[in-house]
Amino acid sequence: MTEALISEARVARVPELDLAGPITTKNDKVTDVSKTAPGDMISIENLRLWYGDNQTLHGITMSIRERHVTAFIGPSGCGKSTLLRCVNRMNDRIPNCRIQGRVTLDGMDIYESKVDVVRLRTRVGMVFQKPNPFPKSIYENIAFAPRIHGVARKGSEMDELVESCLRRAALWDEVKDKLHQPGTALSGGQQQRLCIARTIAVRPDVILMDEPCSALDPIATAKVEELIDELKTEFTIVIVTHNMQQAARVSDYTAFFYLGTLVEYSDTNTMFTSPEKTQTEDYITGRFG
Amino acid sequence: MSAHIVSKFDKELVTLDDLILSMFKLAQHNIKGSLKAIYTGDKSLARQVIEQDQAVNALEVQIDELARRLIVTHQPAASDLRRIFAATKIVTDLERISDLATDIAEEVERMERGGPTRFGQLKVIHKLVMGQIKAVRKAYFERDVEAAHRVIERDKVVNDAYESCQRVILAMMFESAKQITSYLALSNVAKGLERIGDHLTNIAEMTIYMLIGHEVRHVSPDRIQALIEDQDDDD
Repeated sequence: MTEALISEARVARVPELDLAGPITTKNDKVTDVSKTAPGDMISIENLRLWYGDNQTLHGITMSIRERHVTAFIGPSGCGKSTLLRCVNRMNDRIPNCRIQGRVTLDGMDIYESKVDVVRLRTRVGMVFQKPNPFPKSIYENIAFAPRIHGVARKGSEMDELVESCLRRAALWDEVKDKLHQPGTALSGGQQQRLCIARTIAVRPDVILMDEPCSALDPIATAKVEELIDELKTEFTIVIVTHNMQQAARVSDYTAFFYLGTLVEYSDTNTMFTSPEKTQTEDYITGRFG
Repeated sequence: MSAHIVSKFDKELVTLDDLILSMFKLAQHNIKGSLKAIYTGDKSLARQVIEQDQAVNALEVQIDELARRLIVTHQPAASDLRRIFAATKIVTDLERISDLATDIAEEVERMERGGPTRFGQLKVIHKLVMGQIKAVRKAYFERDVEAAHRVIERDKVVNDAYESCQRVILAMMFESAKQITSYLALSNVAKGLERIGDHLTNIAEMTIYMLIGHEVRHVSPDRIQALIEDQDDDD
């Protein structure tokens, strides 16, 4: 089992990216993939996490299916966002954060010392609660990362990529005539879809969404949910949500967390009609004290 | 099970059960009344049963409206969802049961003066059906999955009693061709009771679904027993 003490020092370095290749830096051996079951994109094994002396995750073990939507639900403070952030090592930036256990992406332990975190994050993109477009044009919001990572060159190749990403994010028709206007001038829902378009521009395998609709109105929420349904044919999506109806609508699998433990994990239909555990039942029926 | 954080939801669920209880009571009353009218030839009682069916219909609509409101306002999940879903199915069966009681009451008109005076086999089914409705009502309100399962198992006894009754009625038709209309009416009454038994089985199945979350319609009684035992093991 890997034990990693996370610090700022390990987050550094941005190597030249080979997005089609493995996450490890050149000459590193790719970890054996045999431990990941067929169809599982992410495997989490006995993951424990501390912020200082405070243990937030208590031995989480679960797998995330490839090209499916998995929802994390649970009351505030249950560790669902913390776990989500472990999947692309966003917790690395938090001082005094200590992690034990193993998280594998396609069979490779993402907490191995040789893993390049920046490259990892191109394969595991993230969409946050509050839309956070760059203070640049709509076009540049999409083109910025692919240009840096060499996914596409300037000119028509980049134009095609921008259009493709905006179309896949169901935003093209709304912004095609104002591509060079600031992304921040869009509505909240459009900004969130722009962030999703920006995320898929670097061709990730996984998209993590941390309450992506909590700041959006019902119409904008419906558009993002529709988008999630379309994107799951290409990407593995993990979504944290406080909205249980949203979890029921958009996800194929649902995991319920409480006090840093995984209480129940099953297909969404079972979870919302016949959960196995009383704690899950109490939470999803609104009996939680 | 603990209370909901939103106490209004609990109150509305209690109202839902109160309405279902009223419907059960009326349905029971109507079966009893319709059979009494058959045994005694009391046409006035038969009319009362027919008129009372309107109250059952109104309750069905009222319960469906409440269920819709609960779904829209509380977006229920898990046991709450199953409870509301089961309620909407159960009231449909109770409404049909009351319709069948009405059909039985209408047969009084076809019973001829000087018609059958002995109702031995019919009373056997009648007693079994009344036992089944009492049992399924108890199973539903006491959340007793085993009792609901016993209702499903006993439906076979009702069916067997119905077969015997029809054989007796057929024999009586041969013996007394002049009263064939009365015996046809009796045959319809027996059929009505047998159908009521089937609706009670449906209610028992929905009660089990509500309680354990497994769909048991079109499932053999043995398989249902296995599902119930699995649930007990999980608990």
